[in-house]
Amino acid sequence: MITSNGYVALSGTRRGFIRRASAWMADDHILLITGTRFHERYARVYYRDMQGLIIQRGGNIPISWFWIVLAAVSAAIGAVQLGAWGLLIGAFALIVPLGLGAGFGCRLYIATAVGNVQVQSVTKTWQVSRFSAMVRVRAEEARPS
Amino acid sequence: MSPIGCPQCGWELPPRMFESTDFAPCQICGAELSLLPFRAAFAPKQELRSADMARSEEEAPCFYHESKKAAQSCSRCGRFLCSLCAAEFGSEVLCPDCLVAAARSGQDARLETERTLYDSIAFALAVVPAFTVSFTIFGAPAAIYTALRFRKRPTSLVRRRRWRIWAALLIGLAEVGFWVFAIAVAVTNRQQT
Repeated sequence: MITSNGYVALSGTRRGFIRRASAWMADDHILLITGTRFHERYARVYYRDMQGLIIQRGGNIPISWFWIVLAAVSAAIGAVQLGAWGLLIGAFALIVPLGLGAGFGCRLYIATAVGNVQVQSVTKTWQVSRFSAMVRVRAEEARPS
Repeated sequence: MSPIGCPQCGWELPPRMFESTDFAPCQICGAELSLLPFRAAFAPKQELRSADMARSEEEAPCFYHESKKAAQSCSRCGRFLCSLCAAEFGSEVLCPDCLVAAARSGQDARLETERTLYDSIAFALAVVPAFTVSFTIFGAPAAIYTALRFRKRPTSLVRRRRWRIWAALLIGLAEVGFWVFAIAVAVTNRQQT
């Protein structure tokens, strides 16, 4: 997705119920957006300053609030319609994505000369390869400062 | 090769991590890490030496440092700047004063570090109370006020569509219309009885 002011969406977006994070690519920098639905904080990392990407493996994939709402609604409907069995189905809807996501989480950091900047929007191992493929070309082209 | 630290403990990553992208544990904290190094990681470190910046009699001085020679000029005000004062900013070179002025004015999006999304606030004030109906008596005026007061404020840096602010205004007006109608009906009924 390309926005009107030339930012291209990078792989990985975190859309929590309140907290959000995303990463965007511009001509000379990456824009990291963190914050809430009502307030955004911006951090820019310029390609020329990027020394590499560090991937830290481990942790769980954060469960989406959509799944939590879905599980809660199915538990509520199930409890009314099926009693205890319905509650079990709702709990199952919550446990399955938690179990599937266990151990597949990761943290991505951009290494610069002054420290590492965490990319909070990337939390899954398969997002890292897409993210690095998009960023690597620009970072290699940039003249190091 | 520039030193890169472990994101967990800050300890410098060993050189073997620059050669392979395989995961390896940090020697100190044990965090499983993989490094994808870029060109800048292998670039020789450039240091600003005071001897290189020292000014001779014939050379123009930096506006801020009399003893240092000017290396560039500010793209906005034209002041002569030494290597220490010149801030490269995209295609421009700015002096510290112009950089601060640009950040304060808020006219340059590249210097913005945060934004409040008034369009999302107005939209939430209009929509969320609608689930309870009764709370719209407070939410609708607040949504209309927020939408009108902040309608010209910029939205997100990457999301430029302004439909939320207009949707909030319309929904807020509809909710106010509903309350006016409901009160009118209640008053009419009371007068009839």
